[in-house]
Amino acid sequence: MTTTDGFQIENLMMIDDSDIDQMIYHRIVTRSGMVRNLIQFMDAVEALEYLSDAANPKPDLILLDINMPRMDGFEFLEAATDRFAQDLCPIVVMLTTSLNPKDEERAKSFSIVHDFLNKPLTKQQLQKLGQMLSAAQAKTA
Amino acid sequence: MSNSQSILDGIAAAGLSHWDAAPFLQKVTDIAPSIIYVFNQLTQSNEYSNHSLGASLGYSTRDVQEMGDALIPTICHPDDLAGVVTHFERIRSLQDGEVITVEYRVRHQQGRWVWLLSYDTVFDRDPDGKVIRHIGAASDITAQKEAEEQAKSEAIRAQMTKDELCAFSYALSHDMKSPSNTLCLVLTELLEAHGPTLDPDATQLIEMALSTADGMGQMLDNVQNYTRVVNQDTNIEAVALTPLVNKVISDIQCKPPQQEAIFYVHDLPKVRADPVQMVILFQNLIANAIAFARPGQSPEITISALHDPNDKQVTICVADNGIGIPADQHEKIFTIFKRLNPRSQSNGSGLGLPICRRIATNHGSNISLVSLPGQGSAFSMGLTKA
Repeated sequence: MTTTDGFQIENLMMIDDSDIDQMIYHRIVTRSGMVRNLIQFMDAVEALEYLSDAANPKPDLILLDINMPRMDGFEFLEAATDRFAQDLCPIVVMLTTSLNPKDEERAKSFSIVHDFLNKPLTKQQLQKLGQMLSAAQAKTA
Repeated sequence: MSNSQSILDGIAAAGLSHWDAAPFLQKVTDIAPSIIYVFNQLTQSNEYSNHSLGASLGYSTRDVQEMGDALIPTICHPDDLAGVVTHFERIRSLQDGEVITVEYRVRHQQGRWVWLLSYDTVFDRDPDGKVIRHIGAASDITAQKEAEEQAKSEAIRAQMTKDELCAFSYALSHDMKSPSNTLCLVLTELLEAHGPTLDPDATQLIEMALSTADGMGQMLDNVQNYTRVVNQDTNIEAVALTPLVNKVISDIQCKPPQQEAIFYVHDLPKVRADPVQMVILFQNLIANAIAFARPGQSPEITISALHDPNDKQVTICVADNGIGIPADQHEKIFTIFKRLNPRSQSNGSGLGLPICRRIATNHGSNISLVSLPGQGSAFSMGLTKA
């Protein structure tokens, strides 16, 4: 369901505690012209509160960092699975190192985790995610 | 020599009867450093000893008399007493000529603990065959025990240090990876957003910074891989190599800067291996082949398997058409942090091949190298087919 005005992703949520990373994500995403709405959270607890409020627009895809203070990526995945069961958009986990089998295995055990990408986020990765989402939505449509 | 031999022969021929046995034994027991004793199992007391156990441990004759048959329970270390009691019981069921030993601590009159090692055997029996007395020799093994204890505690300390160092380098490389990612992100964004307005000199400087930050990230990955490969258990399972190698290649091709390397992946078998270590192995061998390509020529990398139909073993080979490695440098490239080329000519971390060698060792194998300077290199490693 690519929107008529050319946005591949309607609402993209990004959860990452690094303010510089978030600023650059914003720039990459804006320049790509692929995303209508970027919802950014530096704190997983606040992201969870946002998702719990039915009045807020639902994200179509969440990019999730693992190493975060207060609530880390795994704790977020547990809380999100508990609270929303399967009624949640695909989540893509962002891994800090290119090969972290333990983190990857642990994240894989959550059915809402769709894929992994290695940081730093690039334009190419974003394009791939857009294609993946379009393909998934075409299947369910 | 021949003189002393003839004396010994003379003693053997004559037997002890040549001398009066009593003064001979007296001298032998006097000179022996051990405490030799005959213990009466019925009265639970020593009937003979060459040196007084009490005196050796600093106790006066009066002290020993006062302790009486409570001597052993009084001076034996409480943790060892049960072992000594069991040992005494075992002596009663020994065959003639059978010798048993026990190690235990006793308290010196001055308070320190002395380790003793006792050898005991049956001395005589009553007409029913019940043991009346046993004879034994006890030696002070405190120095040996202390050395053992020290060696043990030093081994524990060395293991702790090794574990801590591994955990430290793992945590450090992981924590430094995050700022190195951010640095790449910022520099890439600077080029993307302002590239057109920058003069060529500024662009070149940013590109240099970016490739340095990228190299740092790869190095941190390698440090992390190294600690993982050195420290963690190897989990052997059946691994299909063809899809694994294709995945590694597609990951490499996805990553900027775009590689124009050409890959030839032959039909690879299923092997018994640790899948994570196999990924690290092929990542490093392929990265190495790309890093040492001949200038101006696209790297061509062939990954193949050499089967022996009569054998469970298979040789996996990663070959390139790169600059090659002179024969006298072959051992050096597997040494940790050793780089053959100046940093400006290649961007290896000096850890890739040591990691590969360690992975081969973890699989009971080794890595061999065939290389001709100017023509290319081929790394191969034997694995067991699944």
